[in-house]
Amino acid sequence: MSPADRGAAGARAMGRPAGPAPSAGSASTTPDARERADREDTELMTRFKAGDARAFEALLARHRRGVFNFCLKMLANRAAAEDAMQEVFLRVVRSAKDWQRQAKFTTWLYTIARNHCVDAIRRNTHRKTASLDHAFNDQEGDGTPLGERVADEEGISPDRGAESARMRHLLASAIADLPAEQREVFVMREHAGLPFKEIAEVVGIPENTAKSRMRYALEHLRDRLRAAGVTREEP
Amino acid sequence: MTSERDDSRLVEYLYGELSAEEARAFEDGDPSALDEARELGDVLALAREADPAVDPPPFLDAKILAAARAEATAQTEAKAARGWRRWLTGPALGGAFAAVAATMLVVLNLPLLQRPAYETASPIELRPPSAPSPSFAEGAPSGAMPTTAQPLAEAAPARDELQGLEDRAAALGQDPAALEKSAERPADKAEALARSGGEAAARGKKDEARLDEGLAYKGSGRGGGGVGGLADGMIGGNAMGGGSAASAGDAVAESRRARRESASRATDDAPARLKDEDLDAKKTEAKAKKSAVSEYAEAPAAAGPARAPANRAEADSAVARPQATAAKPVAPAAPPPAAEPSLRAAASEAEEERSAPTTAPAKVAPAKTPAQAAPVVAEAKADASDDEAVRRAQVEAALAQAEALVRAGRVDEAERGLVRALAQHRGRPTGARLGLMLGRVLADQKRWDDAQRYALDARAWAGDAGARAQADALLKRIAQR
Repeated sequence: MSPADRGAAGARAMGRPAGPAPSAGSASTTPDARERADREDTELMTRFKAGDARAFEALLARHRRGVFNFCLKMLANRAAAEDAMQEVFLRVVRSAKDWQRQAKFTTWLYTIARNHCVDAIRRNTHRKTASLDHAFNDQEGDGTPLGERVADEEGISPDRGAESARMRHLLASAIADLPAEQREVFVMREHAGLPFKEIAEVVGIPENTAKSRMRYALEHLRDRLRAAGVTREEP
Repeated sequence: MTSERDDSRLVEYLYGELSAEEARAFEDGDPSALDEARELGDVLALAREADPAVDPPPFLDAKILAAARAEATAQTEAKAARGWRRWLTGPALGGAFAAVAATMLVVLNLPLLQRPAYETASPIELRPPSAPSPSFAEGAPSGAMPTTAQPLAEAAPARDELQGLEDRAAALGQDPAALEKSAERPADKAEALARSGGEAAARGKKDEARLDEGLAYKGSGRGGGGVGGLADGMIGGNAMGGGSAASAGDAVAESRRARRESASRATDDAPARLKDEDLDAKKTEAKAKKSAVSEYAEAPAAAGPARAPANRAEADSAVARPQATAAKPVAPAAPPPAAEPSLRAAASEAEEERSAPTTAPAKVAPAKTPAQAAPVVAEAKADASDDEAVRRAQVEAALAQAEALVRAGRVDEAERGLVRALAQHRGRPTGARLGLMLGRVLADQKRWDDAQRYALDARAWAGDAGARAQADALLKRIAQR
């Protein structure tokens, strides 16, 4: 059974409707497509550096989603993520003159994003420690405190739709609770679609270490799901 | 505990990054590893479905693009300014100046250099000693060189004559009487020459003094020193050439000493005089600002909003050009008839508010009406040297003015006034307040893009969290349009 099949089986087991495993956006792109995308990024950045403002618009359109989600998952706060995204792209504008064609644009972009998020997390450490008291990111928009959401997950509801929504909450909070070093690897891979080699460059670690952190992150999530009573069923 | 290599294999298997052979080998290997991979694959699939990536709000793109545009514009402007500054202060222009100066010196001195040294005094144009050289009045060492070579000019014919006599004496050769006779004449001539040299030296000193006045008047100490040095060089050359005539040499030496002294005096005095001039200029500037502020502040209260734009423009230009006609009275512009009643009402309202006892804060209270701005402006006037206070007063007045105009329904004028005021406060917290007001006015007119631009500026220039929050609120309002 392939990993994709296992994804479908796992989904059934976890209580979601059966079907093909969802893709993680650019995470599932082929190496060829990724290379092409890199070349296009380089071309756009070169044009922007030469003064073509439209090239920046194109770059923004290509990477806004990845950067925003990276910031959102790292900072666990929508407003902070919006500010972070703005700041990251502004830094791209300001530092465009220093960008070298040899440097991979995505590596550079996510290095900026990561540095910004790390700084922001450091600045808000006191808020982070009280994270169970403040609303987790507003992706759902209900502003329910994280502690309440996690407590809700403890009881199993027969309502499948409600369970699915709770599953989202559970996973979101589980991802937010990952250690930062695992979370950044997980988010960069799953939401920004960076290959492990590039993640390793952004974070400044060996590629195998990045993969190890990914495995630990997945184990962490599995344990959280198990603790919430979500168990795997054999097909 | 798994090794890093095992972790890598498992993750690569999960992401399909192993080749077919490697994947088969993994599946045929450790069953517990395969089971683990299946479990983690399920978690991954669930995470992808249950926690999908979300799109950033669309207004963020506009915000980023606007900020990026502003950043790019600022960078371009800064680059251009840097370029000019570099060009003006750089080696290119410095070299050009040096080349021009050198060329001028060479051109001016070419006749001097080409002639025998004792002839060089005559081609120098002499000026009447009554006025300093016009070229020095312009502060540049161009045109005919003012010089103290007058003693040499007078001594040169005598030297020529002396030389002729000496030649004749040589030609006479064996004739002792003629030799004796002619020997007396050079002595006479030398004596006359000494007398004329002394007088000329005295006149030269007078000229030096006048020249000094001219130099120091414009504060061009360096130019004076340079010219002095140049004159010294020429005079020194003349003195060497005229060495055969002892009196002429003395006259030249005296003249040279006088020249040196005067040049050195001009150089020494120049900084002090420059300082005085600088102080004068600063005083004029402060006076101009004071006058501009008073006109600026009085306009809305005294004549109503219609008079203000003209006065404000004048005030702005007066501040921009402090040494120009800052205190010049400005004729008030007539308000358009249609708006007159409301303007009168606004003016009387302002007057009432001003006459009422007020406890308005001293400096930076956010004034909502012209009358509330008046005390702030008055205080700023009292301390006109304080630029920041003047700036704040200007902003208060501009805000009050704009508010009055908006109330009177003259939004376009309010916008123009704010834009004009903003031009002088860009990049400052005072500019943030103007930008915010401008953004609000434009947002009310549903000119969203312009409003956003000014709101972003206001946010960037905001000096405190409150102003930033106001800018954010405005940006949010714009985004929710």
